[in-house]
Amino acid sequence: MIVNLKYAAASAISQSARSTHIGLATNTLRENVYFSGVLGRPVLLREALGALRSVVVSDLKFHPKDRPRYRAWLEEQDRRFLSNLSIRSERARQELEGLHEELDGLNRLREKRREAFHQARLRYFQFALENEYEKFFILDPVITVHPDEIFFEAFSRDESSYARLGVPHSHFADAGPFACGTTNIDFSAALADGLERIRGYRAARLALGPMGMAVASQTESGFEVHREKKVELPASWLRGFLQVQSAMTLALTRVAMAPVDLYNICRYLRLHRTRKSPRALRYEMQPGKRVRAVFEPSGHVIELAGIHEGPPSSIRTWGRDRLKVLSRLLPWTRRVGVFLAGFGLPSFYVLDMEGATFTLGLSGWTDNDWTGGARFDLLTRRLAGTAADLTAVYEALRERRVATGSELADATGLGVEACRSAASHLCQLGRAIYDLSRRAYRHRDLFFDPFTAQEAAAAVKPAVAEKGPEAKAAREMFEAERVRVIARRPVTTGFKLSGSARGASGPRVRPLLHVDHEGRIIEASCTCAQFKSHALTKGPCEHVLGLRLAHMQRLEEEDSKGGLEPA
Amino acid sequence: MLPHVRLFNPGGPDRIAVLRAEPAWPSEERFMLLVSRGASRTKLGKAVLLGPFDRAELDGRMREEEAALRNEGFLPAGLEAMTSALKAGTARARALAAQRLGWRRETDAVPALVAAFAVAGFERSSILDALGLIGDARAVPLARQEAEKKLLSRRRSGVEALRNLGDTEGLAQARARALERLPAALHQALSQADTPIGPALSALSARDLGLALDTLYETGTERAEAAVKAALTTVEIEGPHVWRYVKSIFKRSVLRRDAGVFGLLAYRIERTARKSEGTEAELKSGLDGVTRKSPVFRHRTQLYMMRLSWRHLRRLARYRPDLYAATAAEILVHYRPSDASEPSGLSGSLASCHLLHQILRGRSPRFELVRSSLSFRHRGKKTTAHSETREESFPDLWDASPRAFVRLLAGARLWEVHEFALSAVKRAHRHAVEAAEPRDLVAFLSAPHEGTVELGLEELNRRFDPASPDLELLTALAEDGRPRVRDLALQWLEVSAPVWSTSAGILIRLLGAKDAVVRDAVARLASPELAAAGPALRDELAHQISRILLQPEGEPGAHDGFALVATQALMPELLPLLPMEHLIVLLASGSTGARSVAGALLGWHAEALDSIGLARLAQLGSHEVASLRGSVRSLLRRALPALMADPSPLFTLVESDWPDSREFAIGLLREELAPRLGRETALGFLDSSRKDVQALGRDLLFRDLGALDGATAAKIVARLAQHPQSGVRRIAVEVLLSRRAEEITLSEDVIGLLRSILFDPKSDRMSRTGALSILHAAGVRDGENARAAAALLGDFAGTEGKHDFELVITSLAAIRLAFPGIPSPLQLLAGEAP
Repeated sequence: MIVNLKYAAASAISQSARSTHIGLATNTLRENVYFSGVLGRPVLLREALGALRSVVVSDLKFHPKDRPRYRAWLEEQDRRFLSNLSIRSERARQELEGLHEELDGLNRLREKRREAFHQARLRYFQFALENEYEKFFILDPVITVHPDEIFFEAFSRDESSYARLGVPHSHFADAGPFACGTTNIDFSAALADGLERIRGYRAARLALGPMGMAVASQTESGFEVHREKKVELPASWLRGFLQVQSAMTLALTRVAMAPVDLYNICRYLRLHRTRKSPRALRYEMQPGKRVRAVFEPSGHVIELAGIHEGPPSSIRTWGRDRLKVLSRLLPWTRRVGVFLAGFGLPSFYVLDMEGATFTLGLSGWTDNDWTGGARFDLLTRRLAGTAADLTAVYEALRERRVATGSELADATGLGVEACRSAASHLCQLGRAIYDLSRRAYRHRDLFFDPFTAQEAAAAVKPAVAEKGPEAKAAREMFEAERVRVIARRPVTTGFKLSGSARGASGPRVRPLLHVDHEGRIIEASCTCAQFKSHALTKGPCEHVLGLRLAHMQRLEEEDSKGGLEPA
Repeated sequence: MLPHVRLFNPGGPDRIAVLRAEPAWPSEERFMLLVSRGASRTKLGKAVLLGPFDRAELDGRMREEEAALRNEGFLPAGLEAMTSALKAGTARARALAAQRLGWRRETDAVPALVAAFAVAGFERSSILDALGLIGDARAVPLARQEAEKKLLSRRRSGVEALRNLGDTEGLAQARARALERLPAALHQALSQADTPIGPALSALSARDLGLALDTLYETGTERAEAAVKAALTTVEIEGPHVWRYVKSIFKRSVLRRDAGVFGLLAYRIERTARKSEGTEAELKSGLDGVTRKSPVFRHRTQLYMMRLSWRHLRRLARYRPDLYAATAAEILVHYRPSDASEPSGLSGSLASCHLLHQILRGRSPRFELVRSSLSFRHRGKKTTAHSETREESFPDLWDASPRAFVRLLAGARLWEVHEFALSAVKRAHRHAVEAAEPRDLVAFLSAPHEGTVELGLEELNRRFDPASPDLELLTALAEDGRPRVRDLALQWLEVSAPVWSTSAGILIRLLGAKDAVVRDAVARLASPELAAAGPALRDELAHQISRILLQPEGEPGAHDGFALVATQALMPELLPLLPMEHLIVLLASGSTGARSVAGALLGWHAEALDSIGLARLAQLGSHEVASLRGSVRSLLRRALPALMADPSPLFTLVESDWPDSREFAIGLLREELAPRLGRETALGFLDSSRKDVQALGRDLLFRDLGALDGATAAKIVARLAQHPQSGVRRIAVEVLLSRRAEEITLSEDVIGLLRSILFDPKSDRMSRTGALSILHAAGVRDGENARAAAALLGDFAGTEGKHDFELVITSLAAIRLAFPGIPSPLQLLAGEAP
């Protein structure tokens, strides 16, 4: 996907002895979003934006070492072997070996002499690669202005981390008029360096608008172009960004942490570099007891401040080094909320920093990006809905900018369930996000194309005719009546179900399912081969999805009869 | 080969006479001359033996005897027969007779040829060719007449005859007509000396290209011939509308004895014949104007042309032996390794290289010619081994023209050809290499044969005299792009620097060499020599270099050599030549080299400081050109009194991205200006993100730390606490620790500072210990501090660091004991204390 970005001016920071002006230039190809205000806590914003930048440029994927010297040596050995094949005389062979040894010695000396040059060249290429990468492949952060807060969103280069920084309007003094909406900001490495110069003793004004810092002139055809770039956004990046929203709307297990707990985790990660896999961070939860964070494989335990109130469980997460980006936010953090989706599934760390929130979303593990295999959209609720419903919910959310499911239901006249389902859909389409800190949906158009009836129709289509292989198989299984609900028990969190299902091939299996009132899967298991191999890390199997379809049909039947009250 | 003349007298009693030289035994240096005559070849009964003569005398005496016999009515043998053949019944026989007469250049046959021309049919061109080759002026009117014809074959014979006859007037007229026939663009390119002809030729369609090439070649100018030769290396000669003109050029080259074009075409015809089967095309005949389907470059034509090439070489060997080796060499230089094919059976890798075989292995008993394909194969398996005997055709002719070996060594790309030439040179013709042109020897160095390269290096090194080097050769080597040549040039440059560096012209050429390694070496070697050189040379060089630097750089890096020499050796001379305004222009828009010179010169200009100003100068201190930064440093050092009054320009420089400028500014501030720098300046430096600048700020701040009052210290701490780097926060802790305990108040800034230290996983132990000791000391002092300290310590109490934890607990306990009413996470259980 090609994303066009055009900036009329550069984002920049200007300083005088008493004041700082932070001008963030917005994408002029998008709606005109602007905001201006004096920062109440400039240093907090500096640290938070620094952390956001760290997420944007982070790439913790495994990169195999490039060993040109080894490969050259290997090629030379091959060449020598082949050339030696044609030598018949032993004397000639020995002579040749002697010459080769001499040549090797000379080559070693030459390499030693040129070492500094090679190192410098490598550094240059690294620099060029990173700069070019930034120029062409990194999408600038997305900024959204809402009536209650402005928030920045970014997705890491390795497509494994998502960050969201929300700054409430109360953090700004002398705020001027603003226009709500979403746009991109010119966030270069130079700006990141400039941010480091923000100090609390200088009044800092944040100005968000097309002009950024400059007093650029406006031409007849629009703004003058300062910088224009076409980002060739990988499809996986975009899908990953959207999958984050799906994952956030899952039924997540919440763990509370004190800042010092996160400090201890980061400190341990800094002091103990584990070379052996698996390098997991396991959360052990026992009812009424403090949650334990266990580092694997060392087994080191950190007892967290939060007391667990749910059923006992143990959730393992990988890619823990990504938590280091939160280090610089710790002095400002007052509370930390950890939201866990399950074994090998995404986790979210929400830092409350005196009203501002920083949300870090991590995929199951670093190499398992948000789109690699896990299909979180399958875990979320799939209520059949119409394009009109979707459009109505979108319009309602766009008008309010932030709303809970109930508020949307009030506004649209639809049921709460239907509104939540539609909002979940909108999250997957990049039209909304789920704010974990406020537990509400927020309007956010990831790209500028308006939400049309066609898009709405296309979005609801998969609910009728599933596109994914598991969802399609589940639908077929359900329609062929090869799924049966054996037991269905209402619980406080929703329903627990056990069933029997048989796919198009293979034996009959026993799926077990725990869904919340909104139809989102909280827990699931199955006796099928796929679940034994991957659990939920690649999304639910067709049998689990089939059982949920059977449950949803049962729910609809009960709704039409007057409903079934949950326990 | 000893001279041997046969004469024939059609009317005398002795019809045959033979003049023959024989070695005068036992001497091989002297010769006897035998004059024998008789009624027939086998009855030479009357013989006279003259001599002995040495070689020089022999030739003269032979001419005398021949003249005497011709006075008696004897004619050169065969002349009578060939003259008679001019009246033979077929045009073919008449044409062949005329050709032979032409090759023999028989002046006596001119009347017969002129007479035959008047009544000739198709053989008319052959007769005119013969007349041209004989070179008798009686043929000029005939040639002029033919040169005006439209028919290509007749016009060609006419023009080439005029050329061979040396008729400049007729040739000029023919050239003028040829130019009129050329396409306009080509004509224009040819008439303008500075316009290349190649593009005009490339723009022509395949249909017009052949005719244009032939016409161009007909004009016979040096440029035109070079352009045609260049075009013929790439043009598809077998194309329907090209081949007939290529054939025409081939014939012209034969008549002109143009070895270069002949060699190229003979090779290309052979190479093309290996891959192309030719074609058939509707072509208009030049003879009758009828368009008919004609075979073009078919197999028969290919074989004919290949045989024709070799026949021409044989005739050269017979009638123009002085030209044979050079012409053969011009063919051999075109063969490439790509002409070799996979050996198969008795056919070697070069089996299909007909001319190469004929020239290099023509006398070899090991090979036999396959006439159907004109390829060569071994006569049997036993003959595949390499032979030590000489196998080339006409070995005497090769030995008589050793210059041809040099041509082969310099131009051939095939290993076998080099082997042939090398063995000949080593055997008897080393003197040819010793007499070779330098450019030929340089060409040896890129030969595909190691022996040739060694020979070239050996000869070049033999000729090279460090005390009196061949400067032209040295320059040519330095300007050559090949690594091996360059290495040799660098060696020579190194040992002969005192000589070549005395010539401004050579220096300028060498400094402008395309190879950056050569430029650098020349600059490195020349600079010390120029330092001791006379003022005239230095002035001249400075003038030339300043002119070059002011011009745009042709290629990136072209100014680098000049800039190096200028900055290292010619600064005083350049100073008056490049005034300030020139320097500013160069700095703004010059090449990298020019900017480095301008930057360096800036420091030499007395008025630079005044005209630029201190503030702007400090900005230039961060310029990317190192020499400019160097000049700025020297200027700033000169401006020390002004900086004493206002050191602010240096504040810009301490934040430079260039370490050299930063180090300079920091050094100057530390060593010269420190007493004049106040606390605010120190705090400004501490605000920097650079560690060396922060260190300067710390040193300045800590000079009078003890003299600080509490309020000032609190302000300083408040400012330092805002810094994102832990190093500066540590300095803030040091400031706090330097105060007495009662002076410390746990204000919001101080708590923020301590919190950012404690909750930073990267903070060092000393900072954390300092922060905790501050909390302890302040916390036990009064209630407000205790509340703030207890809250922070409570937040941090969960730390896993044992040392930190112990300090936290100790502090909390102390605060709890001092102020029991203040909320604390630590609870003291009464009665359980030890």
